Amino acid sequence: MRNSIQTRLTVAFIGLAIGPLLIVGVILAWQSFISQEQQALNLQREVARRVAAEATTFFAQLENELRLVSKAQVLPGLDQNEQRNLLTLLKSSHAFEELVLLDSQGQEQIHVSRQGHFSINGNDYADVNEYFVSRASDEVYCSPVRFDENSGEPLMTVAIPLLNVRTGLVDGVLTAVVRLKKIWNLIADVRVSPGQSVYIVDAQGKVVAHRNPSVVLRGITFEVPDQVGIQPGLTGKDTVLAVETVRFGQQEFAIVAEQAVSEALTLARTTVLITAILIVVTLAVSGALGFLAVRQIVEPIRTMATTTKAISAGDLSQQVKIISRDELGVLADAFNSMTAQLRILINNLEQRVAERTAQLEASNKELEAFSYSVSHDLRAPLRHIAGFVELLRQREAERLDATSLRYVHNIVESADRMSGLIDDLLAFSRTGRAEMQLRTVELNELVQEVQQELVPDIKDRHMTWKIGPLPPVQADPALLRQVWVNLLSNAVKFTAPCPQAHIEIGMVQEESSETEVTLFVRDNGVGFDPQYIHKLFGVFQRLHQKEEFEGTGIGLATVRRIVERHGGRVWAEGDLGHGATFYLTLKRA
Amino acid sequence: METREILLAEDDPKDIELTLTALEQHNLANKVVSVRDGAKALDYLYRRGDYSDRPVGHPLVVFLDLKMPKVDGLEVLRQVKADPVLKTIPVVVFTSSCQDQDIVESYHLGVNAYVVKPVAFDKFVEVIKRLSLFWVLTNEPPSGAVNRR
Repeated sequence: MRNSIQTRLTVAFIGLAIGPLLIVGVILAWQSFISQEQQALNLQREVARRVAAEATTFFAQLENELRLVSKAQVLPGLDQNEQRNLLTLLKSSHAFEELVLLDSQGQEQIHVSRQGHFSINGNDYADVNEYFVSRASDEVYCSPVRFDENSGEPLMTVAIPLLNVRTGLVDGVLTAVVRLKKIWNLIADVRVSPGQSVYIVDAQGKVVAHRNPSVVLRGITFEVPDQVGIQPGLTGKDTVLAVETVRFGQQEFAIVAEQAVSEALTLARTTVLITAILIVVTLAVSGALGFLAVRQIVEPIRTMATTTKAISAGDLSQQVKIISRDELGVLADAFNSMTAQLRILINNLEQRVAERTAQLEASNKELEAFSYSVSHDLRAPLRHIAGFVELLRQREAERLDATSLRYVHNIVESADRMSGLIDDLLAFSRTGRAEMQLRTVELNELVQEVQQELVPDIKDRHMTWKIGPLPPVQADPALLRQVWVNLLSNAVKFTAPCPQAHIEIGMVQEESSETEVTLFVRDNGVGFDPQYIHKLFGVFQRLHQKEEFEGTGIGLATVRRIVERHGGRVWAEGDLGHGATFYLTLKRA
Repeated sequence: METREILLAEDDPKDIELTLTALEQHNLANKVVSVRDGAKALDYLYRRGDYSDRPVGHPLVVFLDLKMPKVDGLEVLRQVKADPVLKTIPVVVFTSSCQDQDIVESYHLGVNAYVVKPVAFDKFVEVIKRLSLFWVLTNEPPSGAVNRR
């Protein structure tokens, strides 16, 4: 049963359980994911910010040291030895690869390098960037990062103008080559979680600092994304990535902190996994529970349906077996008590039917005994009357005058008539009691036969018969024959005064259906007065004088009784002197 | 001519009178022995009771009314036809009843003829005449049980 209550309830139940669960689960997972991402991003930001702060400090320190020297306003005024010592001191203090002092014309005055190289007036810097840029303003000049040809380490040139306070002119430029390798320590000191890394990218996209020096030394580049969040990281994999920008002079550095998504969102993934498992488990459990619950509801209904079927099939001994205290239990109780009531009712009914049948049988027997008595006992006195009157007549024949003889004749005739009445009454009573044996009767043949039997009585009359095609019907042949005998002999009898009699037998097509057929017998005889039509089919009812037409008045009553026993109807139409039509309905075969 | 009697079992004296009157018209009345109920009829046939000293021999024919006191006609018929000795006696049911059930039952029991008493006397006489002519004069009775007075 696809549309069974069980299926529908189960589907509805599981649907109701799944829907909210799924929505809640997805929302939870999504929320957890978002907050995890946010947390991871914040963490990266924090790291990036810290490193940025330290990088800023690093650059500021560089600048300060250089400026301190420049602000001393003594550098150009010192002799070369003193200048060299000062610069050497400065170099050793910090991450300077080499320091160069230029005069206002860009001529190299002193050059101090890490390798201990020392020269005077070696090079002309007049056409290099550092010189001009520094001269143009008071600002620090910062070159793009370049990489050492030998070591591959990132280097950067920083230049500071030396202002003469008295003249306000630039006396010279102090340039320093900075080893950015020093900044690596900042990164190395940052504590990182698994999958996390911090690195610094310059404006050209070159990685200048990384925990893993080989990344820098191999000259790997990275295009810093415009937006933070989940972005492709240095290795190309998705990472949660935050960027802080640090400016130093003209240069911008991007401090990038990233953590592989797989690591950063472990918790979120776990949450999603747990939620999914929970959903599946809950689904399975609620599905099973739902199925069981639905079955618990539906099973009693099924039981009841089965029982109802059995009961409707007639087995009233069936009981609904539901042991529960809920509505279904109440229903089952009501059902059982209804069945019990029904059982009692039917038993009573059966008893009453049996009683009634017994009564009917008894009264039927009584009736039979009665009609037997009528048949036997009423006839005997009649026979005696007739017999002894006749004997009297024979004995006194010579002494009886005409009037006495007429009296004797009347007595004999009355006894005879009484005998006929008794016979008819018995026949009529038999038509009501005889068992009917229904079979297919060919009406055409039957009516022809009956008509032929009547012919001897009418051979000296002018008469036309018209027997239309008649259908086969379902009836008791003997009883049906009686109907046609009565109807046709009536028609013959009541057309006697007509010089030319017409009798027609046929079927009324318009009033016949698939199951029932309406037949008629029409004659042009004396007809009847319509105001007495209700008496037409009554027992011993006559609408004509005995002298006119013989008969006891039982014929049409018998017709009606037989037709009605067959489930049909009879009726008549007619008028005095204008013939009569008798109709009857019978069941088709 | 045969001298064996006709046994008329009939409870109604008027019917007996009418029957005898009819038989007289054919000079057969003296051959009639009439009994008024079924028990008497059986007594006669078995030669017991009032008839214990009657001569041995079966009647030529029994005219049997159905509705009689004590033992009715059908019961008499049943006993006669169930008796290996009496069953050869011709029995004619002569009754007012024209009920199907009586006719069918009588034939089942082995009646030799079933005749309904007509109401009109002329017809009654005619029927009696035909019956007695047939059973007394025309019909050949079973041999071996001849009772000659």
